[in-house]
Amino acid sequence: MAQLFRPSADRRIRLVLWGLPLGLGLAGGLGYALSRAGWTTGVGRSPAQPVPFSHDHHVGGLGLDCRYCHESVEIAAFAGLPATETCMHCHAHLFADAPLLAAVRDSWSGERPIRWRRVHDLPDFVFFDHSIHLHAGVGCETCHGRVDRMPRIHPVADLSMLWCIDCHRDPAPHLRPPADVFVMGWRPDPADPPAPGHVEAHVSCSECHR
Amino acid sequence: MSRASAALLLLAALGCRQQMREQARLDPYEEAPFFADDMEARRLPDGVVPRGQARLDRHLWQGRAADGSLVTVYPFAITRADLVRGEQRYAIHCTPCHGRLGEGDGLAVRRGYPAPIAFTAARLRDAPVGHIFEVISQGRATMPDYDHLEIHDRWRIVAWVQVLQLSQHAPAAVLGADDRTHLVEALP
Repeated sequence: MAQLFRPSADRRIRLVLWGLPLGLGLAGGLGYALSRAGWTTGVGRSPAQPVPFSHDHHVGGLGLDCRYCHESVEIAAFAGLPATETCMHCHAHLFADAPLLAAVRDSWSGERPIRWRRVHDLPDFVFFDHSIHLHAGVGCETCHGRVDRMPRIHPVADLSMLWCIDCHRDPAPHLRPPADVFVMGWRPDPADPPAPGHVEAHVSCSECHR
Repeated sequence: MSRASAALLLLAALGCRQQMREQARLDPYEEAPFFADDMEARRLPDGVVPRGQARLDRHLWQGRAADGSLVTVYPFAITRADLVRGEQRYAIHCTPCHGRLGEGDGLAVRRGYPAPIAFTAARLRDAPVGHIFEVISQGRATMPDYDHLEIHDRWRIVAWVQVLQLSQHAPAAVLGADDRTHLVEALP
């Protein structure tokens, strides 16, 4: 009886046996890395905005409080985006003719909102509430990073469920005294660490998903 | 199963994910093509008064008495907690121009914004509280209005402005014994 397989078949079978798991593993690894990379999650990326607003200048340079513009952050789910009127509080007099602010003036005179592009966008099946996090002692900086050093706002966290749950399982290390929630660059005083706040960690599904 | 229906199923599965991520509801301030002005945030139609928000209390809402004169007393009792809140809200909304002490030297002023007068000016020290409230609510000269601030918070800011006035312009007679001793010691 003639040989069914040529001698080289052994080599091919070995190649497939080794290559298949190796290739799958590599593809899986690559896929995982891609799913966590800023390219997919948007971390570190600032979309083009109609006005090149700089938190670095307004918060870091001028020392404006977050709440001057994000008015509802303490009382509502939505932090609040300033009305064009809020920009005009100052810019009716400062840089009143700057070409960079043309979109602000057009919005003001035409009563049309500025079409900012959302930078932190959660999926619609997540119900996040700013106010409860602030009152629990989560600082703005904890999730949004050093906004006072961002000439263009960009996310510093991937806003994934893993990221949320990591904190919800053990919130204590991420909490601050109420007075320091809006402070940028806050670090606990090593000589006099704040008393650990008591916060109930909620991790049930319906806490965020309805 | 045919290849075509498998492809259809795959497409449908992708569609599911999209529908859950982007559901048929609007985020705050999202674009809303349904409305002519494309805005999710709807304005109240003209003349509508939200239930429970009729601004009938002139003292509270306008800082004016029934006869139209500016009030000289607060519409509610100011407690220590109100002062703490007033200090905080003042720091957020007023310091950019008026400065921490109300001298009119905030950071925006140092960058060229027209300077407001100091709270310690005689005209403001003698002004009724209704006047300070009215300026906050309606603006004045180069000052924009801050009528988006919660109404009680506006009065608490008025109270803090009075604290700043008193703290920098108090007659020695109103000081406690301790403070007066400090004052005498500090005198050259």
